[in-house]
Amino acid sequence: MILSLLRKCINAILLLWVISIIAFWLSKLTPGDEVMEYLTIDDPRYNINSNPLELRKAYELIAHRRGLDLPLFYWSVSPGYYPQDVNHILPLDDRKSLKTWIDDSKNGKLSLHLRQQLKAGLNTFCVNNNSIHSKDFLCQQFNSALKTEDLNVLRKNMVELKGTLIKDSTFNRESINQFSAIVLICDTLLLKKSTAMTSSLFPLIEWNGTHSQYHQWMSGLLSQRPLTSLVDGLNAWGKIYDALKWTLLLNGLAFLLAILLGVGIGIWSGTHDGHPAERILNWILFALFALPSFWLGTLFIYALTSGEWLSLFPSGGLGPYHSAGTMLEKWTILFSHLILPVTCLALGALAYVSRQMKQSILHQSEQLYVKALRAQGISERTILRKHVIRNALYPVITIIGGSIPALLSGSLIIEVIYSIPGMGRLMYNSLLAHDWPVVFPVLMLGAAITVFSYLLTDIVYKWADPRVKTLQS
Amino acid sequence: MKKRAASYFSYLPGWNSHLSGRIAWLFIFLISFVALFGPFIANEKPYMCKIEGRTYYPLFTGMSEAELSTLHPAFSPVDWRSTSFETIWRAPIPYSHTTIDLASGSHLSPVGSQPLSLRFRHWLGTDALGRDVTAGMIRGCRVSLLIGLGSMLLALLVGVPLGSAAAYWGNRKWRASWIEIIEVSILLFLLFCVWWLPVSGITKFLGSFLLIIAGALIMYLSKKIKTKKTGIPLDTIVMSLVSIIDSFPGLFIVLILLVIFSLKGLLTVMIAIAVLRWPVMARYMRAEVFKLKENNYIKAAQLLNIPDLHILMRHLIPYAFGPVMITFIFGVSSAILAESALSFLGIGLPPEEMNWGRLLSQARNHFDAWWLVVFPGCAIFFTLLSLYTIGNILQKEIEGGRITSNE
Repeated sequence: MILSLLRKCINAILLLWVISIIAFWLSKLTPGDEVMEYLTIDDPRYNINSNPLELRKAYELIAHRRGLDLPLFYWSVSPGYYPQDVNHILPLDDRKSLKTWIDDSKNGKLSLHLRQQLKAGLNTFCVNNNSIHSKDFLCQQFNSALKTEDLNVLRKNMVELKGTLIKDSTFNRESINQFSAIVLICDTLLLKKSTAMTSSLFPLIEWNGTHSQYHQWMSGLLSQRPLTSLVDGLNAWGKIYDALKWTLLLNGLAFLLAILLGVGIGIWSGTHDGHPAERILNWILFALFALPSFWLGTLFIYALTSGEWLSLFPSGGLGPYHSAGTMLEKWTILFSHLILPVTCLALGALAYVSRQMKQSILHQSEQLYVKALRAQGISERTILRKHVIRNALYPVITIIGGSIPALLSGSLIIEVIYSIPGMGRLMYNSLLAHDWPVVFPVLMLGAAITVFSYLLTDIVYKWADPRVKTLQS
Repeated sequence: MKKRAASYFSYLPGWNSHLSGRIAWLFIFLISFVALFGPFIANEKPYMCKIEGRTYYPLFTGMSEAELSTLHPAFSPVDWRSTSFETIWRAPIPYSHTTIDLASGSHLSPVGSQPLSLRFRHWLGTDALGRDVTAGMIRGCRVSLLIGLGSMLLALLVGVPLGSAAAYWGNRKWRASWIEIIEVSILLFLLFCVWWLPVSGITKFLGSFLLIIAGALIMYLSKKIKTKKTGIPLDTIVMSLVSIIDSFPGLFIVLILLVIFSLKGLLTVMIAIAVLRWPVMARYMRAEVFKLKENNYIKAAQLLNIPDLHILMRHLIPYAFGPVMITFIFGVSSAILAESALSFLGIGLPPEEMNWGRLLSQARNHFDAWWLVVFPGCAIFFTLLSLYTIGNILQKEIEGGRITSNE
């Protein structure tokens, strides 16, 4: 018993670990440069139009402070012809373009050399105490050249620049030579005569250990290190916990309602099978099962809150909950605001649970042991209460546990419709605002709730029904 | 004379036995018909029009507006409603789902007066941009069915092979000797190395091809060497994949995927839903094959040394067809539900696309437009209800059938 419990816990933790890797990988696929977004929050003096040299310095500082200059995972694999430190190059745009140069030309050393030449140009033209009059323009040109992925385009731009600068008599000859050198390197790279076959044929596998972004991210999540939201720059943990509270309240109420009513209705309709009222109820439940909760929510808002028809309930949000004085007031506000969303959320699950409960009761009533009990003269009531219902509940436990993730998904739409500040709404709003540092922890939290609910179901099932040795098939 | 067997419809589960089943099938047929012929039912382009003695067929030529305008100057600012033609045959609903008719006013009620003749009346009203709700609903049939069927077919393609293989071979049946495992891992590592070599794509391809041939040859030659065999845990691998995907809260991960990759379109939504739904398919298939493979005919086939793949393809998967159909039907309904939920949240489909969820979501900003709440909602609800009814009847028939066959 203890051993299998332990095994299940370890399985759940392993599962969460794999999920966290997937979530982290997805977070790295998000559009836009993370460091730039943090930069605009941490140091609002800088933006895209700042002096490239200073911007790069600030960028590196932020990347270092936020740990975004680290390699992604515990190990990194790159082709053998890549120079050693490609994965440490910042900004990320530069790294991307450099990798494209290397991939196109298969020549790591020369590509790195090209980058150094371009950076030298950047250092010459982006310094403030410089007397060349077109230096701002040149500075921008070098900055964008570093980010140009296509070598042909890069070469063309450089040749054009050189052409215009030669006509400018004030311009210093040495700098012209710099341009010639860059064009020459581009030409050599474009020839694609690989000299890299001398380098290692095997892929380069580096071990980064704990100095990896994934490790930092995960340990940050576990130890609740401050989480900067990209929208307002504040720590997002408070927001997430608030949202979690509301989601748990909403889903917990819906869950309780669905189970209590669902099991009750299931028992009643299981024992009154074929009764006209039962048949009507069965049809209603079947229809409820097919009713999309978001349509029901919209219908409720239209019919019961907007004043188009009736205006019984407040239309959404939590109203004056936070400003309410007494506990009683708070509870009445909460009740009136939550009753519609909870109903929407619970009805689908209720229909499902009650149908399953009915099937289970019918199945149990056909069993031989019921006949045997009847033959012993035990009253129908006792058979039902002591034997049939107890046995019928076991399969429903699995269904109840399995409905938690569905509730969580369903509550996203309901929270959005009724503007309840729960996890689903937080997720939705953060997604629309591209607030990635909030999105992925919320996803992890949702996954953790799901995995935990599966684990709990297993344990409860096992505790309730000792016959179950393994829950494999 | 013997009466002929009932029509082909009688093969449909529930057509003869349940009235509700017949109604559900009729509704599904209606939706499918509208989905198939939608562009011919609601279209702003006329079937045929005659201008200056020449006849054109704008709807059938499939020409874009720019191409049409080269045919005749009257077509250049394409306004099919107000241009006067000598003869014109219009579609029953003379609006496309993209036609913006702001001139008649936005949020036109279907019951109120409309500044239009009866032929151009918006029978189910208009939305905020003056788009016809009827045309939108007709477009919605196509989108819903496409996504529902498409995503579940994708899920079927992935789920059925994986689930049945996991159940048939389990964790022990598929045995490999240690030497084979080592050979395959070395081959995979070499292929991995070739992929990263500083050579062109075609060389890489040729190299990997040669490597695979060489690997197969070596594996064939080393077959004679006897080493200890070990089972490959196929079941564990597939079920871990299934439980990983199951552990993500469904709607959360679909939303994230759609926003990250910011590819808008039917295919993207289809794939995103399929990624989420194949585990259900795989789990049902696995349970079904687990039951079926205990049958004596399978054991006999195994004793006759019939290849495993043959047994699986010919004698197991076809017999799991019924239960797979049940899962498929329920899956289609949940895919339609997911698709309309996504459109309701405004994520996934391109802005010019129209479907039931999007129509419904417009009602959130304008609650006196009850027609935007009622009609699309009813369409979703009745589609789901029909699918559930059919699925339910099928389930009862198959399970009933199984009980009698076992006795």
